Amino acid sequence: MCVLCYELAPDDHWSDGVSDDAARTLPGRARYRRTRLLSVVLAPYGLTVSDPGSGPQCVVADRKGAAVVAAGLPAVWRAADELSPRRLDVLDPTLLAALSPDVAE
Amino acid sequence: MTLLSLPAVAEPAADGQGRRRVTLLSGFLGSGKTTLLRRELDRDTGRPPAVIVNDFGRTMVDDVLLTVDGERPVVLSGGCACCTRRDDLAQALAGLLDAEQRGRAPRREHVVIETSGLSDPGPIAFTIANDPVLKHHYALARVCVTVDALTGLASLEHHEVALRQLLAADDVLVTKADLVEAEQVEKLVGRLRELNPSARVSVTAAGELLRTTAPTAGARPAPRPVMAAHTNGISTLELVTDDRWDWQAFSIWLSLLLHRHGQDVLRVKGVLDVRDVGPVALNGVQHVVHRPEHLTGTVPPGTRLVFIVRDIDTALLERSFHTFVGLG
Repeated sequence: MCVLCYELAPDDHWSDGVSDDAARTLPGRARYRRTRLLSVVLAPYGLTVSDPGSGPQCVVADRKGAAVVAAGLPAVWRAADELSPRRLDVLDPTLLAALSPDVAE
Repeated sequence: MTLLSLPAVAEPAADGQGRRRVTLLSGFLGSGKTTLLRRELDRDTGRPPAVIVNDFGRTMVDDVLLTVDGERPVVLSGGCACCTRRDDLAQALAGLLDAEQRGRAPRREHVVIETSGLSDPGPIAFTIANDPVLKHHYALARVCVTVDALTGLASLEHHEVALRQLLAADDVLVTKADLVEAEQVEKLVGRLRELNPSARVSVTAAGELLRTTAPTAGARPAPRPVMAAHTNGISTLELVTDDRWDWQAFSIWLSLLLHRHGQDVLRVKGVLDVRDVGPVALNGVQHVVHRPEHLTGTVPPGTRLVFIVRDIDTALLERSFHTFVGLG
């Protein structure tokens, strides 16, 4: 926990275990890319992802204004499950079609 | 003597009849067999063993990591050494003898066979003991079985082959004990001793021995339940490409896959060629993925990634993978 803001630090996650040279010189680059990709993946479920710019969290929200703060990828998926009436699934053909509309079923 | 009963320089290696000793290293998918073997090979006993590695997938990913004295291990991929690749195992052992007698390789007094995570050790031990040629040159020394402290109890409960492996063990090596609470390790050790009281149970973390419990003298293993074929519903997906992958796109895909289907992703492992980063070893079992390891040695270019899954359409899995990685 941060002694200044009382935020709980997220568990160490394997997805944060790879860093490149560019990440050291531009520390926000990987974070920006992750937020952008998450936005693309969650858009077919009517969800948005935004980065407040401080702390390890991002904000997952639906179109009615409900929002959940999530720190780390597992928390993002739990937040999406909570906000979306549709079951989030990486093997969902509808999702795959939405992500690559040029590819025929 | 080491965790896998590899002899030190001062100890006699071959048995009384001059036969080479064989250690069978078994354990369910992702239970830490390769990690343990790597640590053992790193310990310089002065007598490096020959290594044979069996993998259920056709694409081998561990051979790079298990090189002894510059020699890569003998690889048996694309099936289990207990059934579909059993003849190949016999040929591999005979091939070691042949290489030795032709002067192409030094005599190895000890052989370690790392089985696939889905192999039953029983038929493999039978092959070594009964093959008309091999039985004069090799003697089974120990059956060592790794059990994951994180997922071991669940694997024993849900996967018949994990129980078969445990019941065949002379030595049970509980791995990853540093990743769980001490009470959980105690509970697991107690259950292992109930199921196979004749085995010595050792608790390890990162390939290092923490403690050992001696077998219960005179005890007999629990009755063996009737079991179904051990590969029902299980299939593999092997992704081999020359492309460099974007780590963010890949990690988003894999974490979402494990979030939804972690119980059915029995194993994921491989070496990834990550854009702007280089080679990275990835290793996971069910929804537990270990921190990726940046590789600094000589690694062939490209990516080799293997999934072993249960009741998942691998064509759909592959399509999903390419769709997500294409976003990067």
